[in-house]
Parts: sequence; C-alpha cells; structure tokens
Amino acid sequence: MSDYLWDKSGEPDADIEHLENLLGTLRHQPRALELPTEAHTFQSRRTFSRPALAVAAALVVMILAGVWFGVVQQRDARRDSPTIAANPATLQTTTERATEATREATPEVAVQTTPSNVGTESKTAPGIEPERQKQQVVNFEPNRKFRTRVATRAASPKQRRRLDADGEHGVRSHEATEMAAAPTPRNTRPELATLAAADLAERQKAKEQLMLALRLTTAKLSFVQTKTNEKSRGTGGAKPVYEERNRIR
Amino acid sequence: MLEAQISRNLLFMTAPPQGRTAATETADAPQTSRTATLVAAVAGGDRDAFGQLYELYSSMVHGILLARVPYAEVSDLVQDVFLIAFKKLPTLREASSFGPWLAMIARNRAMDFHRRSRETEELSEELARAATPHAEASEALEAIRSLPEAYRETLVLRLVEGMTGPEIAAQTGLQPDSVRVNLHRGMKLLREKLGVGGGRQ
Repeated sequence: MSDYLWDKSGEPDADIEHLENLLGTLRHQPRALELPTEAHTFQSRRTFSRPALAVAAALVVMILAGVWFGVVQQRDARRDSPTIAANPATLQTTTERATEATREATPEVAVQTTPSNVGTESKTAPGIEPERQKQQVVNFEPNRKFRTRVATRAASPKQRRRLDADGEHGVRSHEATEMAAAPTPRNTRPELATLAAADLAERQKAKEQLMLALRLTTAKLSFVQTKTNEKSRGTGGAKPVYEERNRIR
Repeated sequence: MLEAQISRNLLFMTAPPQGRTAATETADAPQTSRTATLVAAVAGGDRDAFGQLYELYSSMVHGILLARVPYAEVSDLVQDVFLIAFKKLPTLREASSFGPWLAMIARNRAMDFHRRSRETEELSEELARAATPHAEASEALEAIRSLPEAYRETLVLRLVEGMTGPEIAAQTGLQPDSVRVNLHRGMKLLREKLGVGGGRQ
C-alpha cells in the first residue's frame, strides 16, 4: 500500500494526484484577518457583567425587603386579632351596636313571612326571641340579602349571648357594621397600651430599615449608571457584531 | 457494513494513543508547543500572535467548513470562526488543545449556518454549483460530501487543503491511526463513487 495518501511519501498515486490538482483549485486563499479592538473583546465582558450584577443584586434586595415587610405586617395583624377578643368592654360595645343595627333593620311595615326565610335565620341566630327573629327575617325583597349579612355577622357565638340583653340605641345598620368591623383602640388597658407602643416602635424600625435598603439600592443603581455612561462616552460604546463582520468583509 | 466501519473508526478514535509512531509524535510536538506559546501570547494581549495562529490553522478551518457548507460561504465563515475563537480564547483551558477546540468551533459554526439557512430560502444545488469556479472540482467535492462524515472531513483536508495525515491529526486532535483509516476507507469509497481507478488503492 502506497504511503502517498498518508504523508505524500513514496510513489504518487495517479488518481490521488488528479484529485489533488482538481480540488486544489478550491483551496483556502488566506486573506487578512481583521480583529476587533481589545477593549471590545476581553474587557467588554467585564464591564457588561458589572451593571447586570448590580441590577440583579438590587432586585434581590428589594424582593427580600418586600417579603420581610410583608411578614412583619402579617405578624402585626395576628397580634391585633387577639387584642380585640381580649377586650370585653369593647366587645360588649360592639355587640350592642350590632344588635341595635339589627333591631334598626326591623321593618316598620308588615310584610309576609316566608317559611324558607325563617329557616335560614333560625340557623344563624337561634338565641334570638322568635318574635324578633321573625321581624329580622321578614323583610321586603330588595334589602333581604343585606339584612341577612348583618344578622349573620352580629350573631357570632359570643355576641349571640348578649343579643338578648341589648339596649335601645338608634344606630343605623351600615354604621353598626362598620363599627363592628373597625379595630378596637388598644389603649383601653395599660399593658395593651405598652404593647401598642412596642408594636409602633417595631413598625417604625422596620420602616426605617426598608427605607435604608431602598436608599442603598438607589445609590448603587445611580453609581452603576454613571459608570456605564462614562465607559460608553470614553470608548465610544460597544459596537454591534454586524459592524465587525462588515469591517472584515 | 458501512455503519460497522464507522463505529470501529470511532472506537479507534477514542482508544488511547498507543499506536502512535515515534515519527508522528516528533512531528506533533513542535507545532503543539508553538501553538501553546502563541495562545499564551494572545492571552497576554499580543494580537500578532493571533495572526500567526490564523496562518497555522486557517486551512484546517477552511477544510472543515468546506466539508459541510457551500463553497461560496466558506470564506466568510472562516473569518467568523476566528473571530469567535478570538473572543472566546479566555475560556480555553489548555493552550495545547487550541486546534481541536478551533475545529469544534468550526463544526458548530457550520451546524449553525445550516440551522439559520433553513429559515431563509436556500439556493438550489445547481445554482450553488454554478457559483463555484470549477464545475468539475465542485462535482468531485459533492462526491466527497456524500460520504460519511468521518471520511468527508479527512478527505477534504487531504485532497483540497493539501495537508498530510500527520498534520491533520496534529491540528484536529484526532488519533493518527484513525486519520489513516479514514483516509484509506474514504478514498476507496470515493473511487467507487467517481468510477476511477477500478477500486485500487
């Protein structure tokens, strides 16, 4: 076997020589290679990654701050709910108002009683006197839905017990609902007042920390922006790849 | 039959380099060390060194591309490959494996070319052939391109670029024995395709 195909040594093969001559016309004709500027190749990668990293870091900080703030708020909300329940005086006041609202909602006009309505109300407020129940339930159609909602809200287990011993106050139904839903002032007792002050202080601290984080992020972003602007002004900006290709051609 | 041959070749490529002759080793060594020196110089900011690397390896890149893409596109793609290599040079871990690394970039660029050209309208085969300067040469090239990939690249490097077997092995990073086998088997198939030489080697 001839070695001509392997390393061009020995006797040349006629077919191979013919093919070499024929295909040699397609051989590579070297032309000058134009390379991009160095600043655009090795250094540009570093300058590009800096703002990207800064933006990513800022986003992470903002997300973390948001999550932390949300958790703090949720914790505060949880702390608030037992405060309302632990304040019997407030609860009593609220219940009384709610009861008044329910009573206020009683129609002054005699309306027909439907068995289905009675059934619904007796489920929600079983402790109320039958006469009053009937009065609460039997309403004219447009307001029935709203009144049922009010009665259901007012008829929570604790409130239901007090519904029997209610007073006579002229409070309008929607006002009563708002009052029942409104948070109770926490300074009715001294320990609660202390707790509220601690809460306020903690909230204030959290707010300050969040503001500080945001300020830091803003400062970092503006620094990066300034740096990027300086770089682009200094080097004339990064040239796109197609420009390089055109230059080569 | 053909698949069995190819798989045997692939096994040959991945086998440890025990079959390397002393002559091949000595032929490889100077070029490898020179390449390593040039790559180190380019990493240090010497742009002329990259020009020397271009002179050393442009034929190999041209051959690899010519085995895969139309002749009219090859010249531009060679420039692209070297531009990519220049930009990605800091990612090269071993300076001595610049050749195989560059060959891989060229193969990937060829694949990328075909992927992109699918989106646009492709020239018909006849038109593409007419664009090449020599019709007979392009016919022979088409015959080589119809061969299995393992033979195609080696034959183009040998017959078109005029590289010897040891040079092909040194630049592409293939085992010399597998290059030798690819050359001989590919040549046999090419003779059968072109109907020359009556199948003799």
